Amino acid sequence: MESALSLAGVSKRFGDFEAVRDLSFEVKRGTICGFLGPNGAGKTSSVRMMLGLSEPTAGRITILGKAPGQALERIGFMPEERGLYRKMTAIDVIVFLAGLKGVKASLARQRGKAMLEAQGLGAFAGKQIRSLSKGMSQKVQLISCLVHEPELVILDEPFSGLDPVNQQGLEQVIRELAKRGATVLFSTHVMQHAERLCEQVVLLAKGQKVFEGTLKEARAAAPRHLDLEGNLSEAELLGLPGIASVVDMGAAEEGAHLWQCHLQAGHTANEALKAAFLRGLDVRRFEAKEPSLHEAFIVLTGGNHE
Amino acid sequence: MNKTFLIARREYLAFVRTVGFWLSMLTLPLIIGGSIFIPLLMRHSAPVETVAVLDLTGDHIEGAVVEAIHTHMPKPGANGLLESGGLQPVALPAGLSPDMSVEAAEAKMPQALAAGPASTIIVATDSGDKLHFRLWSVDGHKGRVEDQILWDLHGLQYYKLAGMHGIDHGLAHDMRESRADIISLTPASLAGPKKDDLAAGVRENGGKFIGIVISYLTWIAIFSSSMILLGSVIEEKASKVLEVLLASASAESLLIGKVLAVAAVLMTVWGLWGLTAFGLASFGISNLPPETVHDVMGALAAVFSPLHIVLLLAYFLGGYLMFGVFFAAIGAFCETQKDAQAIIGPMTMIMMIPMITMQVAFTSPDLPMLKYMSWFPLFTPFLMPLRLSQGLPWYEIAGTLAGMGLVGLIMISVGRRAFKVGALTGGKLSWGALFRIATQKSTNG
Repeated sequence: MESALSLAGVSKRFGDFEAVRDLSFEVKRGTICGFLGPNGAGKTSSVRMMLGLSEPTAGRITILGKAPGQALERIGFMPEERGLYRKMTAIDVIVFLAGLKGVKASLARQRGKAMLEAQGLGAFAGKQIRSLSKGMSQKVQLISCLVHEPELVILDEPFSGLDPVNQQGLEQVIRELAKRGATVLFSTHVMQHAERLCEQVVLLAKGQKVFEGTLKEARAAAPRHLDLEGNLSEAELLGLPGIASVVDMGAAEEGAHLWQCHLQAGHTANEALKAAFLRGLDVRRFEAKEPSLHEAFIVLTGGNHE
Repeated sequence: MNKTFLIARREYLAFVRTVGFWLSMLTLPLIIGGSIFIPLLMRHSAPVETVAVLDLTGDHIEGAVVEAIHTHMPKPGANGLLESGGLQPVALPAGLSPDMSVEAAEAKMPQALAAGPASTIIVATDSGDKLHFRLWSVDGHKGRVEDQILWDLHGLQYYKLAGMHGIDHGLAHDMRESRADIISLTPASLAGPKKDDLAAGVRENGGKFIGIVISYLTWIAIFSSSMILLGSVIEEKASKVLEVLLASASAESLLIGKVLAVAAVLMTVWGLWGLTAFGLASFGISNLPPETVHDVMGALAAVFSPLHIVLLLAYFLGGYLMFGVFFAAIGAFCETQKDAQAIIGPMTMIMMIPMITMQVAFTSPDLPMLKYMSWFPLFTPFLMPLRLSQGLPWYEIAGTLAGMGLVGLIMISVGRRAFKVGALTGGKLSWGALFRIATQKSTNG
């Protein structure tokens, strides 16, 4: 299947500062891809190069089979810094921005009104943007970015500034986009959204790609751990097979103690548990935990979130 | 092209839909119209001054004074806006007579004025070699009669002195009315009929006058439109719309759309102001003899040849694009007008130089300094409209157009790149930053 987006050896330099270094990855059509990284990782610089807003210092980008800037009508983009004409009405903004994407005014108005209705903003179509709340404005911005039914949607930090209810609503919108065949690339530094939405994630740190793959593969990068509760000593736990390290999580109920045991790569929680029971250790409760994307993120980025 | 049109239309509507735009646009015609018509209406509403003459000179000059008053009487049937009240001689109020003393007469003035019908009483006395006229008026009318009859009363003194020296009254009159014939001429004076002073004036000085006016208008239009563009981009930058727009349209489309929109706003303003000027001119023409109107229109047509108009438009468009795009690019870096001051301040000062020069050019449009300055591309759009009225050699026109075009293209190129860079960065604007943008390779975006 042809990629919706492909970056090959892309770098971006601002004077002495290299914002993006040798970035390569592909996003398949019809998938949701999380473009993850801490603040200042180079996500926004990369997104701007994908859209042709700035040119890479080196490397090649292909977006919907064309060079950046050549397929803008087929792309929907919501920037990190939201902005709309404050004195225009919601529907007029949507129609205007859809016009720039090649949609006729009558069709854009019809679609815009339907989408405003769907987002619960039907009564606000004729209101000026400046009279809307921040959450409402963000919804109008999202509609403006989707009203021309783009094949590829790029959302730069789409969840920032949204309350939990609206975040959930946005997640639903992203799922529906993928369901109708659109490709979605969204950047975020909040892993929970990516965990719930993405099939593929690309992880960036200090301008460099540190990971590209599925969620499962990403999680595998972080050590799995086994929580054990009981009257247990650190030495007993470190003596179990496959245990790399332990963390004292503090006292538990009835004189027991909670330990978090990190498993070595290639070892399972079963091996350690089996050995613990065979050795007659006082294990009162146990829980094998898969690492979260957040944990994988911290491991993969070296724990540096600057 | 469609995107450029959409951007231009949105910008244009955003401007013209504001109440402030219409208020500011109507202000100038209202001020000009008001400053012309209100004084006329006030003069028209002035009442006829009723004037009586108390002649205490013993020289019987009452008749001459009354005759002078008669020359200022309202003309029968005149009712135009340009007509003012005028003077009307009336009989002396009761209680005043030529045989009373000055002191006695003036003691009765308050009652005499209150009794009417005279609103002003001229008391004439003679101190031997000089006539004295004391003009008594009711409250609020002081000075109105004096303004109109001043020259005539001085004339009476002139004739008195002439008589005392044995000069014939007729000769004295001729001497007083006599003037030397003084005319300023240029080679252009040889063209066309000399029968009408106004038409000759338009033919000889119209080009210079119109050149000055167009130079000022060009400066005002370019400066104000550049500031509008700057403000418009700053507003978009501050409201974070620029990045959204750049993801849908090229920087060129955005810039050209904005420039076109402001040009359309300018045309709207000029259209309304032009209509106002046409109305005022029509009013002025309606008060001129048809023959004069014909000659003036002929002289104006000679000044405004089609080539002249094309050249004026070329200089204006060059200046508008040069400064407009540059100011818009500056705006892309700034979220407030204050942010733009580091660049706009010096640029405004550069633009002020031709404005100052124009004040000198009004009297001497052919100064060598003006010629040299008009070759400087940043001054060309403002000074060449003025110089065009002087009949320039073709190489000067071609050279200045080429210089302005070249610098304009450089400014547009730098402006386009700066606009794109500025729209996406929050960096501080400086001349150094602009220089780096101007000199960096275009592939670095």
